[in-house]
Amino acid sequence: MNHFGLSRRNALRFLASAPLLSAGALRAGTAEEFAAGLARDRRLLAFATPRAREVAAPLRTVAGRLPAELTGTLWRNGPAEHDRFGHRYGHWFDGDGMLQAFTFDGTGVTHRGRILDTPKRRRETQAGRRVLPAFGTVPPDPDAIRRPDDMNAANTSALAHGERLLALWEGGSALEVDPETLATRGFVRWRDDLAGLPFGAHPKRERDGTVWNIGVVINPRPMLLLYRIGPAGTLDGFGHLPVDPLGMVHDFVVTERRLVALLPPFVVEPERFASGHTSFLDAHAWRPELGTRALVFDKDTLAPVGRHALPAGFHFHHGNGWEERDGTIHLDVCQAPDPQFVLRDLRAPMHGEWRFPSVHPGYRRVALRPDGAALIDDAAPGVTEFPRIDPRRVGLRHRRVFVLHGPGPTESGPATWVLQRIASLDPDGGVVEHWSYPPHQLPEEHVFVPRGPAEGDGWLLGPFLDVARREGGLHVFDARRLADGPLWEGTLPYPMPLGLHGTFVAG
Amino acid sequence: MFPRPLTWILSTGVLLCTAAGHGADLEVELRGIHSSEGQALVAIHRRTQGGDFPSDASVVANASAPAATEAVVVVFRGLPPGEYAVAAFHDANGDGELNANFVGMPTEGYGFSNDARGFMGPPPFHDAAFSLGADAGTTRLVVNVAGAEPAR
Ligand SMILES: [Fe+2]
Repeated sequence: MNHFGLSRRNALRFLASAPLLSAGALRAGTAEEFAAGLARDRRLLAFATPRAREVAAPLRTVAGRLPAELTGTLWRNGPAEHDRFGHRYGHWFDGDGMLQAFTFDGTGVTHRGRILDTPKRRRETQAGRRVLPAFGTVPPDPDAIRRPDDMNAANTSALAHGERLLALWEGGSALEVDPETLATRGFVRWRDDLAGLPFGAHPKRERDGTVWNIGVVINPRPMLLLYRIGPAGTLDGFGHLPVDPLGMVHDFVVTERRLVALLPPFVVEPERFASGHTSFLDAHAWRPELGTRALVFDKDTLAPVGRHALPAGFHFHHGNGWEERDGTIHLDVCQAPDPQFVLRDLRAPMHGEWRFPSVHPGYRRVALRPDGAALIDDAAPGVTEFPRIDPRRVGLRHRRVFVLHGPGPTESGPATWVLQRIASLDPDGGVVEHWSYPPHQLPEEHVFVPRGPAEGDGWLLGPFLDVARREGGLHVFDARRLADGPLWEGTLPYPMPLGLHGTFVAG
Repeated sequence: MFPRPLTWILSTGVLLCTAAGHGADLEVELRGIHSSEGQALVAIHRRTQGGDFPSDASVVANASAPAATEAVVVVFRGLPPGEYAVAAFHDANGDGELNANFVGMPTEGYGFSNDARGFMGPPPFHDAAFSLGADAGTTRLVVNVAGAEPAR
């Protein structure tokens, strides 16, 4: 008989390990200071909680014509429920996720959105208050978390794969969602011994339907996880590599033969581990002396085959990666000099302060040579984030990246959102063209949808928030004629907060 | 020696663990089991010299019962006076183990007396501890077996 001695050795190791979060929580926001801020600056509507937990409406055509051959659904996710039970989170990335669908039927677009019913949110409903730590905020008198999924906000991105629609977070399991009702079906267990392990928010799908992903485990010991999911949606391979120290690794790239992860020197520090009163974000330390570590893995074995050292920098996202015949790996990255924008600037709007970030991610190119050499250089001026490519070029040489872009603080001044343009970049030639959103419209990530056979022949679907009309909206661009402005503009009868990432499912 | 449960009888959802000798009776009500698959395993622990908790060394009595989504009650009889802690888990696949993923994180629901919680692990013994007196009669306590959600 089992004595519940937790006798399995690995269980003991887990259970004996140090906590993930540490002391010294940063302050949450308050509804009052946010309301005061919003009264001063209407752009803060971008960080307001939706008025309803479930929304649905057709989009009203404001201008232009929808391409009739554009049919399918743009799924989007992002932190949305910033306020609940009178508690306002202190970081943009904390809020409970709202999954949204923009469905194109060839004649119009309809919108649906629902705050995802996660175990975390259910627990808080039961408690009648916020009780679980979030990415950047710990509520007063928090519950101890038993497993990462206890705090899974499912708020970062979406993946449709193998008949399943998944809402992704970074620190825990993928959450399966019913595409009709947006009700949650439960966390995905890729394999019994992988239950509850982090499945990252930036999976990469290759042309053959294989999906790759990474995960970061901090507790009980830091390691990088690698997943290979087959076209049918079942696990085809899994690998792991202990990496110490380790912190957030938000994205990665895939090439023909390799997976490449860049690890910024923003790492979780054991000495900050303590009582569960410091958020995951605040358990990180900026350690530029570590540099940015590049780890290269073989796709067949999922074993590490190369390590490269790059100067320190902080990034979330890559556009793409590819390799030359001689094995040189090229990738692009939206990299900032340090993580101040995520540590500090992305908290400010939660407190009702519209702040122009002090450091910005810029579009940079990395080359990793087989002899171990590593190069990085600037590849476009200005501020770039939310890079997307033609999905047919994943792992192959790409000539276009579609990004949210800004000219930088010196030109634009603090009057505009830092990412006020949609731009098309050539990794070797900088900005190809761009279109500037008017100051009262704040764009979100624009997702590329293929049309013709050539790279870049397609549409960009761009949600935005119109802070003057207090309405959400969506633009459709011809991705090869961005400078001409949108082909179509539609608006919603309600505002939506700025979200993070989306994916398009044709049909 | 501490008494070991000799037998258990399931009747209307109540499980009886009859231990030899006199002492206190303890009714442990398990809540929050998310499915009726497998069994619930409950153990009574005492403080050990080495402080290992929960461990084979700290167990004084244990019992199992079929899992149920409504409350499962397990009764331990004749516990000598002393300080105890209860640990329980939902052995959903019935293999007698608290299953864990490959980093050692439990993948089945578990809980402790006093609703004591550690951070991604067990609480220290004293957080889960309670005392039974010599003439305590019957004591009832609730253990929330907070599970991982049913996964797909
Ligand atoms: Fe991201």
